[in-house]
Amino acid sequence: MYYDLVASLPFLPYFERADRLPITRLRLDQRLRLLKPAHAEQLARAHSLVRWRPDRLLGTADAAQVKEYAAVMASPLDRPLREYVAFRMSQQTLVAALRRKREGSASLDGTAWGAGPWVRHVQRHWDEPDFRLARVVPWLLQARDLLAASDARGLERLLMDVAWRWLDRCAQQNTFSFEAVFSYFFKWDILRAWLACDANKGKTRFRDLIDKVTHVEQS
Amino acid sequence: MELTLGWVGLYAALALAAIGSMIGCLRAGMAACGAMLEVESGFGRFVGVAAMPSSQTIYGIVVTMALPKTLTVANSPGIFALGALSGLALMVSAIAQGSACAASINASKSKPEVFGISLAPAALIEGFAVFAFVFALVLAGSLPK
Repeated sequence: MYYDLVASLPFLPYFERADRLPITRLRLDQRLRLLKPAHAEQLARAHSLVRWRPDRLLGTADAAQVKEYAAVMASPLDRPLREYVAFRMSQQTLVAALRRKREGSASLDGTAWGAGPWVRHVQRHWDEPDFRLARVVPWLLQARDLLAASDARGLERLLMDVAWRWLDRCAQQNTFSFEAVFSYFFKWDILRAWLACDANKGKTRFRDLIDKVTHVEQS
Repeated sequence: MELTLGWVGLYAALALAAIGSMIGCLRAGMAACGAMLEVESGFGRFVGVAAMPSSQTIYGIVVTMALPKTLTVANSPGIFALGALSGLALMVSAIAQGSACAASINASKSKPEVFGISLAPAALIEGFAVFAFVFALVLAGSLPK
């Protein structure tokens, strides 16, 4: 139990209502030193796989991601953290499937395109509009509509909201447990990613990249 | 055998209550220490709340003092029942109160205005401990000499 660690973490507002991070990454890492070594290792392994958005493009292929998922799931993980990793991979897998379907892929057989419990199910029901998962995964149809409308921010908001609620439920089971700590950590990660969404910064970055590419082609 | 039970019961009330207080104070105390890293003031009240589960040990001492010290075959089973069961109730209430105090500290560190109301669950638990304590005292008076 982590009474001291949980009590040392500031309140984390819902990501849409926050205007800044309540704790810096440096300070959060300092507080997380109170974790037992085994839990710290588990958290680091899980975070490398299911962090919301890496600080820089990793360039990892789907196959590498699937391999990493298998390695993380084969390693010792507490049950709630294992469930969260599976949940996040399923979330990413289903969005990947929706994207591929929108791009007109005929099927997904023979490619390492996703991981988690729904991979085979999606392959089996590829021709169905909701992969026959709408009842089990209620956000799927909404995500499909947002993708169809090219509403990237709306889709991001939906996925973050679903993950945030999952983590909230997990932390409420036991307020001072490891579940509460990793829920806080991943919610902080969601908040960081949400606050990093800045249309103006994005445009500038895009222009810089275009300039860079054009410059390389010219030289 | 009966006399052994009597001796166990005589000390169980205090020992079990003390175990509960230790665990309860540990939980609330750790939360208080964690909260102190986050707030700039109000440390004293966190420490005060963390000490709440220590009252069960005092109740345990009083119950032990109230039980007859002269053990006989007639009164030993009664002493065992009163000591062990009241000790158990005090132990569980101290542990539960420690968790309630930790939750209160955790809530009030971010929202100081809820400090008083967040202590209500801990106060309710204290009430149940007082019931167990008072009725142990009442029944101790009716044990055979």
